[in-house]
Amino acid sequence: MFSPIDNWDDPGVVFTFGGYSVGVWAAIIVAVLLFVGFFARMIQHENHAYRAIVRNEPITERGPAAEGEPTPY
Amino acid sequence: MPPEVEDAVEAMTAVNNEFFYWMSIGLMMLIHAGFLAYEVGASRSKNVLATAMKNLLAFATIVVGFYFVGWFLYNAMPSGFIEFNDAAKAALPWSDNMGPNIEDPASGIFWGAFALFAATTGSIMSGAVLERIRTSGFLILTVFVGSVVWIIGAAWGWHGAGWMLTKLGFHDVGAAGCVHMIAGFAALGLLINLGPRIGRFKPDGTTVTIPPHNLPLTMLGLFLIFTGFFGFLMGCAIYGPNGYTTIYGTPTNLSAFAFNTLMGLAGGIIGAYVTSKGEPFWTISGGLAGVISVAPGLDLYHPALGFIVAMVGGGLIPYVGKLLEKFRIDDVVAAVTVHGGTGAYALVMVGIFMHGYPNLDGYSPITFWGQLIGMLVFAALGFVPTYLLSLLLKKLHLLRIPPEVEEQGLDLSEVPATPYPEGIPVTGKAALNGNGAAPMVAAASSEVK
Repeated sequence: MFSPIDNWDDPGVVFTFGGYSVGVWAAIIVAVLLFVGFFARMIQHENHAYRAIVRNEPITERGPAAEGEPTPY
Repeated sequence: MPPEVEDAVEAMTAVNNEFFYWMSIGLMMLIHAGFLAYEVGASRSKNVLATAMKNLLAFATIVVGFYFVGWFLYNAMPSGFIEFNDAAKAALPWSDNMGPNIEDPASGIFWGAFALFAATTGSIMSGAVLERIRTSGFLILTVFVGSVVWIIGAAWGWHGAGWMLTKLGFHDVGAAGCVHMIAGFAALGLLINLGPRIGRFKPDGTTVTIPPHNLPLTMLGLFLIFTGFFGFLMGCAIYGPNGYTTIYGTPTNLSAFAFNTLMGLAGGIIGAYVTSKGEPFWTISGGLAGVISVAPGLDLYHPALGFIVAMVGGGLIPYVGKLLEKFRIDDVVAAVTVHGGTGAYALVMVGIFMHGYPNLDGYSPITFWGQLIGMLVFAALGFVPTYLLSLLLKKLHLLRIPPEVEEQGLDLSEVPATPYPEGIPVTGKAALNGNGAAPMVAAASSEVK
């Protein structure tokens, strides 16, 4: 569905959607938004974690359920 | 030559080229393994996982940033300003060349090698700011340096058509300027705004040593970085059908690089050992300083001269480190000293010993003044933008962690795991935050006279 080619005779651009396409633009925009969103989420997490330490409160975010880890927060 | 043989040779040349840089990328990954081990070891045990996460995320974010912005800037800015030439258009992320394209076996592999150079540049700052920077703030800065700042410097001075080459005859084959120096001066700008770790300096300015929690791990990390540098320097050579050239197009070979990389590494270690009186951290950092000392002239130094230049370069770093401490700059891994200071020294040494060597295409020959001006350009390019951005982050309270978190450790607050669950003593104050954490053992620190 997203292939820019119909066969493998003299293939050039083979990546999904093809160059200079709407699909590529959409993927780039979503990827950039996710990249920026990662920073926003990280700042949110840090603010929460630092606030808990400053107030001497338990950190309420759950950690991963990994064997050998301390009791989940 | 029959056409089918010509086609086969052409195909093999493309495959060889790709494989050469693929190996370079793989070896450069060891630099990041090394940075991680080095910085984890240099941290106190209350911060080791946060340190490791910072390294891991720095690598990830720089690669993404470099894909979207960095490669375009490199191809668009050799003249000094952005120009939408064919190479620049081909480096835009929506072009035919910035993804799988059977007719283009070069763009991806060169982008990959440069992405690893970018990640190296951004990660150099990482160790300087350990144990008190916000990870998010650091990542913003490292993406900025790794995807924007250094690559502008590379376009200017580490490119076959860069204005520093065409106007000044600038020579920096092994990227001591655009990678090491820019990263080192960026770290300095950042450290001025970040400030030292709590307890690093007494009110009267006396330095207090905060020992690394695992010095052997830092030494292993640096040895991994040494290994990775063979991939880094391999990637600094242009491999083509007619052999190797420097990034400026002048002929060279990997034999030249091997002579001077190894003699530089050895010289730096020996020099730093002598001047630091055998202090392990400075001695092994001297190896890195030695390689950086000879990096701009890997293609031209006689190995004996390379050894001397590297020995002096390695020998200088303990003194530069002490000098920075007088200004209350807390650079945990001596990144400003080893990368910034040695990078500047290396560029000037090329100006002294390679003055008069010709360049191609009628460009200016290598000159002392060209090297000096180039060095000052890189110092300013590294320092000013990063100082300003870190100042902005400081105003927004996104640069430094709260003192309570710094005292109790980043691992306890922002990392949902524990590094040594079976009980390596943890430095820092006891933390009773309601989650059942046991009181921690305070580490000793010693004073430096």
